Amino acid sequence: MAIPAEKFQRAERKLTEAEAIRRPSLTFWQDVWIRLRKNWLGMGGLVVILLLAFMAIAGPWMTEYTYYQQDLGDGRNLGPSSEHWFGTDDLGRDMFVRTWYGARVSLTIGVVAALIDLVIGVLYGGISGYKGGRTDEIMMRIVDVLWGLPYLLVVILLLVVLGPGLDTIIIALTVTGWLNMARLVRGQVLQLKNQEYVMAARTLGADTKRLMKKHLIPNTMGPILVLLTYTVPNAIFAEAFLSFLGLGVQAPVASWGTMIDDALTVILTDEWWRLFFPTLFLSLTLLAFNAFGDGLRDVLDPKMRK
Amino acid sequence: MAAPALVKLENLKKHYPRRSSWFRRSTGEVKAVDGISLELYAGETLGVVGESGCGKSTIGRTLIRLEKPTEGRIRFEGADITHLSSRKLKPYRRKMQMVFQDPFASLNPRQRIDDTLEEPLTIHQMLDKRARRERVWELLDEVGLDREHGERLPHEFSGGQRQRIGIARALALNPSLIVCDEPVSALDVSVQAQILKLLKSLQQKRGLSYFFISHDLGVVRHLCDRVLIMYLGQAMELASAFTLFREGQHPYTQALLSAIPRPVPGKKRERILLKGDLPSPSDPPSGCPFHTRCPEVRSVCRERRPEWKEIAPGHRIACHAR
Repeated sequence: MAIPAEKFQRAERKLTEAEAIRRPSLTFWQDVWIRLRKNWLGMGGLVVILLLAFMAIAGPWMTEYTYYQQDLGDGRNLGPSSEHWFGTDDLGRDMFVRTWYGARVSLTIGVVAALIDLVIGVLYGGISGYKGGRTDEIMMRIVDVLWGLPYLLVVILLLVVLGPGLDTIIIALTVTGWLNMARLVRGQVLQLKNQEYVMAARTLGADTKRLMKKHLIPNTMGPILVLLTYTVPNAIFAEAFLSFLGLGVQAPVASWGTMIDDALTVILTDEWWRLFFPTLFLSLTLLAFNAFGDGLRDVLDPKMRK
Repeated sequence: MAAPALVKLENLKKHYPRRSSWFRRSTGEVKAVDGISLELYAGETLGVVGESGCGKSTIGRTLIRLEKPTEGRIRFEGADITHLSSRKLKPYRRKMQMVFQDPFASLNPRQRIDDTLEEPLTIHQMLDKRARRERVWELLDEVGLDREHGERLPHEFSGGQRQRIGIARALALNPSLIVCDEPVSALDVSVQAQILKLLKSLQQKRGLSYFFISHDLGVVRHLCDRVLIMYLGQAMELASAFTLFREGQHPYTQALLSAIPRPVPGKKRERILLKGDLPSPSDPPSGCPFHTRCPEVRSVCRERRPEWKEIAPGHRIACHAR
C-alpha cells in the first residue's frame, strides 16, 4: 500500500518546547511538606506532638489549682472526678495540673537538650569534616574517648557536683549527647566537600564560613533533622529515668519521671491514676516523636520519592 | 606568538602523598602532575588530552589554585600566584573560573538558580542588590535560558540546561580564563554540539581563553587552537591542533590519532595498537613514562627522561626517537 507523498506532514519540533519544565516550581521544604502530608505515620506523630505542646502550655491554666498547692485534709488520694480530672496525689495536689506542668518540664528538657546537641554537634562535626586530615583525626579521637565514658556515671557525677535541677540535667544530657550529631555531620561534610558544587564555590572565592552556611550545612539538613527528632524523645526518656532514680528535678517541681517515682509507693494499691497519667503521656510523647522521626526519614529519603 | 602569556606554568608538579594511617608516615606518592611547563595565551583554546588518570584534571585544578602545587610556579598575567594566601588570591579568582564535568553534581541542589548565579557577585561585593538581579538575567539570557528559569532548582533541569547554568556561573565575574574540565563528556552528542557552539560564541564575544580538558579527540579538534598530549602526569607533545592532527610526531600521539573512528567506510588505515596496561601513576616507569608500551622503544628510553624539546616553532615533544 503506497501512501502519497502529499499525505505526509512535517512534524515541527522546537528545542525550547522539548525542554520546557512542566512541574510547578517548589522549594525543597515545600516539597517535603507535601510529601509529609501524605505520610500518615509522620503526620500522626506531628499532630500528637503539637497537641501535647499545646496542653503543656495551656493545661496548667485550665483549672484553679497550682502544681504545688497541697490539701492535706480530705483532698488526698482522690480518684478522677469533675473536681480533679486526673485525681490528686498523696499530698492532695491536683494531678491534672501536675501532669501538664510535668509535660512543660519534660518537653523543655527534650527540646533544649536537642538544640544544644545540634549547635555543638554541627559546629564540631562540620569543622572536623571540613578541615579533614590531622585535625579531623584528633577531633574524632576526642569524640571516641568521650563515647567510651560510661554515660550514666558521668551524669551521676555531674549531678552530684552541680546539684540536681533542670539546668544540671540539661548539661548532663548534652555532655555526651552531641557526639552522635557531631559524627553524623562530620560524615556528611566529608562526603559533600568534594562535590563539584562545593569546588565551584571555592573557585568563586567563597570562604569557609560561606561554604558551611550556604553549601554544606543546608545539604545535610535532612539527616540532621531526622536525628534531632530522635534526640528529643531520648532526652525526655533520660530525664524521666534520672528523675526516677531520684536524680531529677526536685519537689515541688514536677516532671513525668518524678511523678512516676512518687506513684511507685502506691503501685500495689488501687490508686491507679497516680501511675497511669504520667506514664500514659510519657509513652505517648516518645511514641509521637519516634513516629514523626520515622515519617520524616522516609519523606527526606530521595529514594522514597515518587 | 609574541604577546605575553595569560598563564604560564613552569615545571608544575602535584604529588599526592599516600598515607595508610595516621601513625605511619607516607608510603610513597602519586605523581598526578609531574613537571609540566606551558603557556596559555589570551583568547586561545588549549586542549589537554590524555587517558583517565593521566593528571589532566589535576592540572586544571592546580592551575586555578583549587589544589596547592607541590613544586613549580604558576604565573597569571605575569604575577606569581603559586603560593598566594586565599585572601590575596581573591582578586585573581575573578579572572579564572571553571566549568565542571558533571552537570548533576556541579550545582548546589538546595540553591535556586538565580541565587547560584548571584553568589559570585555577592562574594566579590560587586553591584548593588538590584543591579545584581539584572546581571543574573543577562547571564541567563547569554547562555540561552529564560528569566523564569532563575526561580527554579537544579533538579528541574536537563543535563544540557544545567551545563549552561554552570557556564553562566563561570561567566558571572567576567573572567579572562575558564578551565573546562570535560564539560561535554557527560552529555548526549546532540547536546554536546549545542554546548560547544555556545562556548565558541562566548569566546568570540568576550575574548575568553579556555583550558579545555577532554579525552574526546573529535571535540578537541573542533574547538582547540593548540593541543597538549599527556601521559602519566607528563607532557608528551604540544602543537597547534592543525599540526598535531596532521603530523603528530610522538608515538603516543600517533597511537591516539589512529584510534579516532573515521566516518568514511572502506578507507583503510593502519591502527597502532598499544600493548600492555597503563602503569600505575604511583609507580611510574623510569625514564620516559611511555617506554613500557612504546612501539619504538630504545634502551635510552628506559634510563633517561626525554627533554621537552622544540622541533618546530610552537611544536614541542618529549621523545628520544624523534
